[in-house]
Amino acid sequence: MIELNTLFDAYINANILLVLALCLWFAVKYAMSRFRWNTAFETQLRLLNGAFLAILACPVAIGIYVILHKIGIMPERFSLNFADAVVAQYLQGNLNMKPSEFEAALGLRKTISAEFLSLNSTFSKIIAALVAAGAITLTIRTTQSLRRLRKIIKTSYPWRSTRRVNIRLSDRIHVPFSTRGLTKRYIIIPSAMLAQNADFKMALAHEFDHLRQSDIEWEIGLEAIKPLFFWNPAFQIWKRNVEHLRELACDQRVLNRKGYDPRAYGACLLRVCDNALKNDTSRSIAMPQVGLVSQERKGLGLMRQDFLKHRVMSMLSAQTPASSGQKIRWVMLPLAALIVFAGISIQKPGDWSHDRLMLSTIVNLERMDTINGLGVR
Amino acid sequence: MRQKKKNEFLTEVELEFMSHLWDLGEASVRDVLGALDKDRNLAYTSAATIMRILEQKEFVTSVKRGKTFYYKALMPKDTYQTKSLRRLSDELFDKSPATLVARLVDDNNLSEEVLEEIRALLDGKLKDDRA
Repeated sequence: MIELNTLFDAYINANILLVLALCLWFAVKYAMSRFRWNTAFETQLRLLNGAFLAILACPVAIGIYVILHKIGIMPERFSLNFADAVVAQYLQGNLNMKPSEFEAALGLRKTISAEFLSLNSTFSKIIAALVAAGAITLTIRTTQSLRRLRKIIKTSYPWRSTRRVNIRLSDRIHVPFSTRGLTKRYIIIPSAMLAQNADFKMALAHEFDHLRQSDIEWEIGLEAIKPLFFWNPAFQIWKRNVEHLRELACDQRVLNRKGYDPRAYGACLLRVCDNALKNDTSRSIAMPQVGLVSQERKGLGLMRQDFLKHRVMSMLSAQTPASSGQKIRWVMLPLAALIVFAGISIQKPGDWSHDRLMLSTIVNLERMDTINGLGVR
Repeated sequence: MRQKKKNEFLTEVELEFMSHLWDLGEASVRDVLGALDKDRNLAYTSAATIMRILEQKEFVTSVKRGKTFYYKALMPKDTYQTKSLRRLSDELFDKSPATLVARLVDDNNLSEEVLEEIRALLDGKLKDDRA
């Protein structure tokens, strides 16, 4: 049976990895903007999703790394562990610190984990209670949203259906969206949109593009892990980036492929927003769906308004992104490799490596020296 | 078999269609489309979908003659007016029809004739209730 300590360690590592991966992503994004790829939203989205897959692949990579060490294919000295590298630097005299202090700093995470898991202090109890309360609240909210979403689909009217996609009309919504069940994907359009032929076509093209991009699957995946990572700002920023990029990429592709006038398309977005705001937003569903515009109540907030403005401006600027083509792999592979490397390097180090034994000896010598010093006095 | 789904109220465009259907009595999709404003530019398929939704909501019923479906309102206009007013009264006037009427009467645009008409309607209603 897996120990609680191991699970907690894996959880903390996942959170650290998320922060590191986000930093790497921002570095890549900055580099892309220098190479005229700042409007290549589809490429950016694929890279961001690829980076997330690299995070998910980390446990497998770590498993392979451990097996290679155990069967001796990878020599003992060849370690990718960050803590081992720091110990090696210390032993070579590159870090100026007292041995006992250095050992304490190395063991800080272990100490904090033990303290947190034992729930001895009031602080650890409060933190644990807050995280648990947040996770439970989000799970309940997700369940409620799923129920509401099911009701919307159930009370909607069939319009067109293919083998995999079911397009339906609903008089209970004001913003078109797409979602999926176990086997079928759904596009739900407000029935009031039937009266606006051009808007209806644009909304349908937009939602079809979300399905092509597998955005709904990503949204479901990210929403499913939200109760575990909601407190981590890196997760929130990551999710926000995915949400923004998928809309920008979708707008860009629909405009390029269908040849809609960007002004007409932008006006359609504004009409849908206006309609959603005029109506009861408290009945809006937060997830798991991908809408033409944000349906969350905080959609009235400044951040959402800014993003809508950004979307419209991106359309009007009509910048054709530099074609990424096969070049994406030259960015994706190093990015994924760096994330996997970061995942391996933050793992708990082996306790009895040669360098660790050396460090332990030095610490013991320091202690003996202190005791001897006291005896002399 | 068509799935029947009841929804008590109509959307804006559905109400527009129903209004024409109430006026026309019985009509095909093309008849309703013809009754709409000329600059409306609504596709036939969209209009047919709206009629189909109205049928599923049980606001209209249809009969097929030849290749054409003819639609007829199932709910009379005044019944829907009453339902809509009740909802307005419940949602906006704290379930008090008196407040709704008071707001209506407070409206400065109401002419003497209209007020007289309302008074006559109320008198008639009171007489009926007493009887």
